[in-house]
Amino acid sequence: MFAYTVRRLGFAMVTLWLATLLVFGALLLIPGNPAQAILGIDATPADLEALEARLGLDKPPVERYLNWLGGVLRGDLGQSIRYETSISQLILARLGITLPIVVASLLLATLIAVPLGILAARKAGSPIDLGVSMASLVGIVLPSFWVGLMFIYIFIVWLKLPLPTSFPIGGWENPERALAALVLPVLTVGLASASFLVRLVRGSVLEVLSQDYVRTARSKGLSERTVVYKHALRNASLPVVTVLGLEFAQLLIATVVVETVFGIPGLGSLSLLAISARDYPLVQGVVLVIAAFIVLMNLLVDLLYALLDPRVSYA
Amino acid sequence: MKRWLLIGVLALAGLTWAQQRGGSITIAIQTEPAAWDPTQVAGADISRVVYDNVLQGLVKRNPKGEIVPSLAARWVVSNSGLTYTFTLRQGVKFHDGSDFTAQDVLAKFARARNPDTRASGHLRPDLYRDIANITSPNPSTVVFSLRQPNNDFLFILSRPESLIGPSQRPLTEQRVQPIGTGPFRFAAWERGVAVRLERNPNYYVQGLPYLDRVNFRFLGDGDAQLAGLRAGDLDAIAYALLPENAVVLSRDPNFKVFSGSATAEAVAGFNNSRPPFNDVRVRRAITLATNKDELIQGAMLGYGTKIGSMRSPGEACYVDLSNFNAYNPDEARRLLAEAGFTNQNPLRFTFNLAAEFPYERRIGEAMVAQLNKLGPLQVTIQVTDFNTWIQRVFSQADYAMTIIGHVEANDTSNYANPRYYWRYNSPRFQQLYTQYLRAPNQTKACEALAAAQRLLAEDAAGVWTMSLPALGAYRARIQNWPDGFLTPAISVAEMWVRQ
Repeated sequence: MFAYTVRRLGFAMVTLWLATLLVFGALLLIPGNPAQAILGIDATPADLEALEARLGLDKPPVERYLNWLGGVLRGDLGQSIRYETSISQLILARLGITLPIVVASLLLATLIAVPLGILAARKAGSPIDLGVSMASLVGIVLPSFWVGLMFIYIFIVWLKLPLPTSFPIGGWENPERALAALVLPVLTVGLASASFLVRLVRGSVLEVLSQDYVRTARSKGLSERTVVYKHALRNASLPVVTVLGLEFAQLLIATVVVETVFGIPGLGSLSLLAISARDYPLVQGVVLVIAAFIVLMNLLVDLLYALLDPRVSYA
Repeated sequence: MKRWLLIGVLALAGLTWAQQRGGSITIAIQTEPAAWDPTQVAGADISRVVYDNVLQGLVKRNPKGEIVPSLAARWVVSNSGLTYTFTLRQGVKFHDGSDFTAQDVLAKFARARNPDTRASGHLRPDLYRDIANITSPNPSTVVFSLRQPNNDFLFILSRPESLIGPSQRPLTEQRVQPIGTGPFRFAAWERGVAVRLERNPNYYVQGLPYLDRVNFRFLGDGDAQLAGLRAGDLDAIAYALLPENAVVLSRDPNFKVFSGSATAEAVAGFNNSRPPFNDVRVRRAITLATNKDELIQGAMLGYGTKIGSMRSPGEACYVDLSNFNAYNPDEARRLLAEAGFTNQNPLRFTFNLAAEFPYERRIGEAMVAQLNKLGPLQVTIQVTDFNTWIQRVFSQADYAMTIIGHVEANDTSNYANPRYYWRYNSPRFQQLYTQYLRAPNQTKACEALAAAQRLLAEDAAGVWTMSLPALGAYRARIQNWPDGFLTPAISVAEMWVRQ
């Protein structure tokens, strides 16, 4: 298993490097440059040229990429063009907001989706099953920016709950307020993920329940509870764990819509800003971090397989 | 008599006590600038926050657009218009405790005039080209000598580029944490979230400012702004309030909605150098096919002022041409037919929109719908992000038509630059603009500028759809919100909060 992990990490490095190369190339292809983004329409061509020189944009792309890569190998993600500050610090600050949202949302999603999914699978075809399916469909179909706005109006404007509508100025210096600001975003993202997850849980439990070993367990006279929770659930959890792992990495960026509605300075809005400002090093930094999370989550999921299913072995 | 005296004294006392000191407010602005020193980086949002609040210049524009004293207590212009003598305010300190001196003024304008922008890091040295030299005969006086008269000289000194920081301050630091002489000091920039300003206890105007803290929160989403204002997380939406949200808020007594003509013209610009827009008949036809009243009512719910040339009402030397080339679809079709475009052989072109600007996007989309209704026009919309727009449309002039708000005051001059993205090359206009700049007095200057505005309208060099409103809202307990919008700043110096 150790050798397997090391080999996977080696592949991961190559994957990460390819990702940065791809992103750098893509950024060169899209029109616009960071100096223009900064100066807008109130500056002259001479101003633009001077700023490009200051930002080092007059150097050839290959040189810029190699400089950046050299920095990364030394553990330095460089300076953001837009913000003139350390990229590592920017990303860390944003992860400090996005990670809690993502983790709490997935926790919430799991807590809702697993029991409901099992219930729906056990009562397949019943009104309960139908109800769960309908609710999850609604949850999938409704766009999260709309749901978020509705939550603001319902919980804050109507019910007057003391929740902020945006992340507080000063951030975690004011932990209670910051935490309160994450409640509705977590609810929005969590419910959306749960809607999608509940169908998966239902499907995989149903599939497992129709297998031979479950029939054997039932015919042995085991109680339905033991059959479902001891025998079926473990196998049904494999696809769910896979999806949760992928969902985790994806949500790091995908929360951007919710971040916009709730005024949250997370990783998603940072990447959006980085792209629209053509802040090349910042885009690359964010991509590198996200890609690292994806690789890490995949590895974690694979290792979990071995734990959940004794037939899987990485020896 | 005694009673009246008593009432008078009480009223006076009431006036002086009325302004309550202390408190903090949070104001939403739409975008987050890349830096905060307007001498180094351009952008309207920088000035909204720092102009006169943090950084000051010799003179400033007040909310009414008048040029008034700031760091210069007064000035004298020689009869020839060639010498400007400024008397500096004494005892002024920068936020870092150092004294503001004539040396800071000399150093600032030496930097501003330096044609080598790479070395100076200063924007727009072209603005200061007419300065022959600057001297300081004594510590409280600075004298500017010009090569030729320039009617815009005081205006140039009131521009954000002319703001003055400490001469010793490194540019890299001034960019991210500007130090000035204003009523507020720049306390912190939380990237992606807000800028925090704190009261300058040593401000030279006695008693000002009233507020202890002012936060400018970056919130791009109009609905998130509205929710924040109603929930109490925000005290004001400084500008770009969506018209539909303005209607909602204006019905609520807890909020005040303000709307007024600013200096932002929503210009649907042509590429004047490219066929068919090098043909004045086509440009005029498109102007005639545009129903500006309908755009103001339909796209902006009435918030906006009709204009007919490149200048906003309220700016000096404005001429009302709002009904020139007024909506007339028949005449538009006739002119297009003359230029060879009919329903059978329509004029096809692309109209570029930048995604990030809510007002211009809706005005542009509505305008294209109007043009397509005419018959001989087939216009397609292309929406890109602002950065792509700047590259293709603004820098390379690779476009047919587009729309964008020109926020700067006094920007009629843009048409005098044939390299500007409208590619409008009219020697007559350039001549009129020079006449305006070099005119011996204000009357003559305005005459020339009026003729220039008229020429633009006759040439239909663009479709000036409307002067965009300064549209925003604030909590009713905030007092002294400025009632004019002809300054680059959201001036917070005199605002106070009723407890």
